[in-house]
Amino acid sequence: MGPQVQEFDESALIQRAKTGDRVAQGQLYEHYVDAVYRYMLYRTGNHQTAEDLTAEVFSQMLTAIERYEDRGVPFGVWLFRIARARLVDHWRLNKRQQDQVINFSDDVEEFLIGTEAPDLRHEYADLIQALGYLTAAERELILLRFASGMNNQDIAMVVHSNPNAVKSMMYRALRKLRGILSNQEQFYNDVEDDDE
Amino acid sequence: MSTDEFDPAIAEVVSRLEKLGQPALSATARQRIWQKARGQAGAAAVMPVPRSRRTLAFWRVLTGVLVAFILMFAWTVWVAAQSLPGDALYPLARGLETARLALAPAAQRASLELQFLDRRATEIRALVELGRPVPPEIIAEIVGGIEQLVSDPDAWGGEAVVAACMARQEETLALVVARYPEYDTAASALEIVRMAQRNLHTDPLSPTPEEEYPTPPGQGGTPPGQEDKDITPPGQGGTPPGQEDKDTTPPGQGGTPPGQEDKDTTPPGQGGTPPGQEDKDTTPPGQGGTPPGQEDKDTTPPGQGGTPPGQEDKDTTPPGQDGTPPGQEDKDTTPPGQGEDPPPGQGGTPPGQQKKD
Repeated sequence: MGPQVQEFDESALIQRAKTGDRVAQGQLYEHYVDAVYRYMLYRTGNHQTAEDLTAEVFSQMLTAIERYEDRGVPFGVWLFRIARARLVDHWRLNKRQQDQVINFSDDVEEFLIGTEAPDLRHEYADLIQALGYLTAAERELILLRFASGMNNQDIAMVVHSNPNAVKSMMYRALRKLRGILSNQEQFYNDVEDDDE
Repeated sequence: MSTDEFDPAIAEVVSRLEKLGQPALSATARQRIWQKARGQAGAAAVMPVPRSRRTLAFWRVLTGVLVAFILMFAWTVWVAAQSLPGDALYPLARGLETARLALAPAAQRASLELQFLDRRATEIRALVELGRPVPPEIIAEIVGGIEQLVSDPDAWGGEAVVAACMARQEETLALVVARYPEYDTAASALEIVRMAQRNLHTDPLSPTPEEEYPTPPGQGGTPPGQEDKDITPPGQGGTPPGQEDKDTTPPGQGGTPPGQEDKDTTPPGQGGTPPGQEDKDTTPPGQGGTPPGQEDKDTTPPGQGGTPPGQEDKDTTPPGQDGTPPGQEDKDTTPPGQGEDPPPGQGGTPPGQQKKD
């Protein structure tokens, strides 16, 4: 789950956070914020919106964590269910349909690419564009898996499905994405040939 | 995240997708988001979590619409209940009545129908008071209802309930007839209702069937099962021509108990035929009774009863006085000048002996 750069006792942190321990709450935030933010960023296409929604998710985490009980639902899954609900609210309030193809704005590309080496700019741009051609459900699985680092079992719990169905759908989405990326490369090659 | 678990054909795509997980928030951005989250959480802790404005607005609008709808429906029902025949909402009122009847338990339907019949009468009165025409369908409906009531009074709560209802209908129809004398429908309906009232034995001058049976023996009357065509003297009331008179004998003065033949109950030794002797005509010649060799067809003096001209004399005894039961030949043993059977205790055939006169 997420960039797990350090081992930490999640259940102990949760118990402390439930009692109002700010340090524990902060550590949980630090552990999950990047995964949640990337999920929001790739799904909304706007870094400001992603930032606001991420803040809402952790705000709800702080207010609801005392009611959290680990009844087979890991804390990360619980947090991403909140994220998903906030995203649905956001789309409803902004008249956006979930299955609408997302076209990432230029500032998102700039934001992402600005943090990476200049030679990755082209690759990110193609990848983000290709993701826009997937269905919302396919895009969600891809992002939960690759942008947020969740395994199929956790993804299945987040989207209220089963791991086999998630695996199958993930495979189809990847094949579809490969086709899209191949077409992009073909297009660029044709353009280069024309230029020459 | 490993590409090993995927098909080699898509491994390249997977390796490219793994780059999506590389960007990370700057320390400034992290701090900003955390402060925002804490601020929102603190505000939420101070105030109860409100529903979104759109949700609240939706429920407010929905509640308002529902309340308005219920009020409008209630108002329409109330107005419909006040409507009269000919009003625009009157069909709605009738429809609601039908619905109430359909939904009411079987035990309450009869009282509900009586209630609706009374409502028809109220409507007619209101129409008459307003000087508006009374639709003949409503009057026909009353007549139909009355016929149903009379056919089986017990099913409608008993004779007393039915009689009260019919009295109200009769009063209403009488009002219509008085106001609109040219209204033939109302006049004929009134006649039908009055006839139904008589048939129901609600007329205080007519005995109820229960009152008819305990008649003291020897006071005459028509035995049950025998049709009393007309025993009323002319000019003293009785059944209108062409109508069947079921019983016009005053209560307690006539009739033989059911299942009994009309026998003379005169105590022995007080008149009548002595035991062991046949009661034959003992009237002295010239002092009354039927002359020998003639059947007694009419012995009643003119003006005191008897069969009107043109009608067969079935029973010539005035009401309240004993006569020969129809179907029996009157041989007349009445002493001259009395012309009637002796009252109980004063004569007649002793008990246990068949009266043969």
